[in-house]
Amino acid sequence: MSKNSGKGRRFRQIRLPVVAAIVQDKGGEGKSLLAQTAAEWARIMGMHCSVVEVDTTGTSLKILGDEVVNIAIDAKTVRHDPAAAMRALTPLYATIERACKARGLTVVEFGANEAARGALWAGMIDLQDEIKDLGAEVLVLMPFTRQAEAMRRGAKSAEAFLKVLPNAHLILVENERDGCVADLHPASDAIKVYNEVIAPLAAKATTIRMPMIEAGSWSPFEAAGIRLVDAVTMTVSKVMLLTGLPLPEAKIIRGDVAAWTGTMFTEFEKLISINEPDNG
Amino acid sequence: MASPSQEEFTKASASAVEEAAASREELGRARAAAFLANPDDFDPRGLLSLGTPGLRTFARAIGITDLGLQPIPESAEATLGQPSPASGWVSQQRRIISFETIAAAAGIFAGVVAIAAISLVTWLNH
Repeated sequence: MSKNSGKGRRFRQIRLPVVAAIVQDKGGEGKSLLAQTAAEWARIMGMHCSVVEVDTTGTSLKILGDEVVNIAIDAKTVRHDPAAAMRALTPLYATIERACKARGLTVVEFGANEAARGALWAGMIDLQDEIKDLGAEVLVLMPFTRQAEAMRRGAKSAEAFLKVLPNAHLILVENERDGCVADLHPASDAIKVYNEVIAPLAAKATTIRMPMIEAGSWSPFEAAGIRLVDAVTMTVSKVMLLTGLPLPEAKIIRGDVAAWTGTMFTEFEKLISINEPDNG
Repeated sequence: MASPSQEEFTKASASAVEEAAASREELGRARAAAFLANPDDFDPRGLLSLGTPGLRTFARAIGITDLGLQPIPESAEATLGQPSPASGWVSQQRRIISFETIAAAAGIFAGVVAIAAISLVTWLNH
């Protein structure tokens, strides 16, 4: 439950190379923003980062530019040839292998309704053993807002991955966009679902928080295709030019994005250590 | 755009957060001046983007100095601690009379009316 960053199982920082799979079958829960933030964190930390988007549309991470590997599975093709869905995921393994060899971070975002397919693929190719051979560790990040449906579907997606990747570390990402779980009414359906579905997962996971960005502060940058780090380091005059806002408002939206990005980067720093392992 | 180092980013981020807080205070003062000049035409939606520092400045500028909760007077606490039968929701409840009681009362009433009616008819016939 928010207001509890880092709660749950005591987490040992893991070392690179890391494969971070972002899974949540419900749309609009912050998967793309989380993937983008992880990539931006890797960018300022100067580490190698590969981003893969597995989605039918394959456009939610276009803000990161051409570096993103898009795997768009066409539903029509899959109806004719179900094995095509699995073959389409082959570039995902190639990307993971490349990033692991570079001792970097691979961020894989499974779009809405793609998690089950991704888990099936991971099981079929025995991804657990392949990743172990590459010397990498896996994080399964499951973002969820405080809606009952988001928790139910997210838990299902995470469980599907944990079944085929039993050594993966589960990270629950509480998206506080609509408020904190801790503030839910005790008699609400959502808190019932949290206690029944998320709490058992939280006991064996680490929970991090994804705070709310102040109303409307991120959308002007996002609409203009500006990346998080670039928005924070942008001069105020550029923000004014980009958004048409007067000086005080331009400073406010940039500051809000900076505060949010800083919080998220701190959360990633708790999870992943960029230091090289000690020799001996 | 070139990638800034972690140090450059941290510095830029801290400065952006600081400038945003200062701008919120500045906006809070401007909104307060607009409110004091013409309260009838003031649009409260303008307060949405102020955040905590801006709202605090706004409140101070329009003369609200105590931003905390009003302390409960001791006498009020004493009153709250000793509920009287006249206060509280219990006394406001409508008592529901049981069906059996209503049926018995209605039966007795109907019997009395019937006896009275028979007696009246008998007396008129004499």
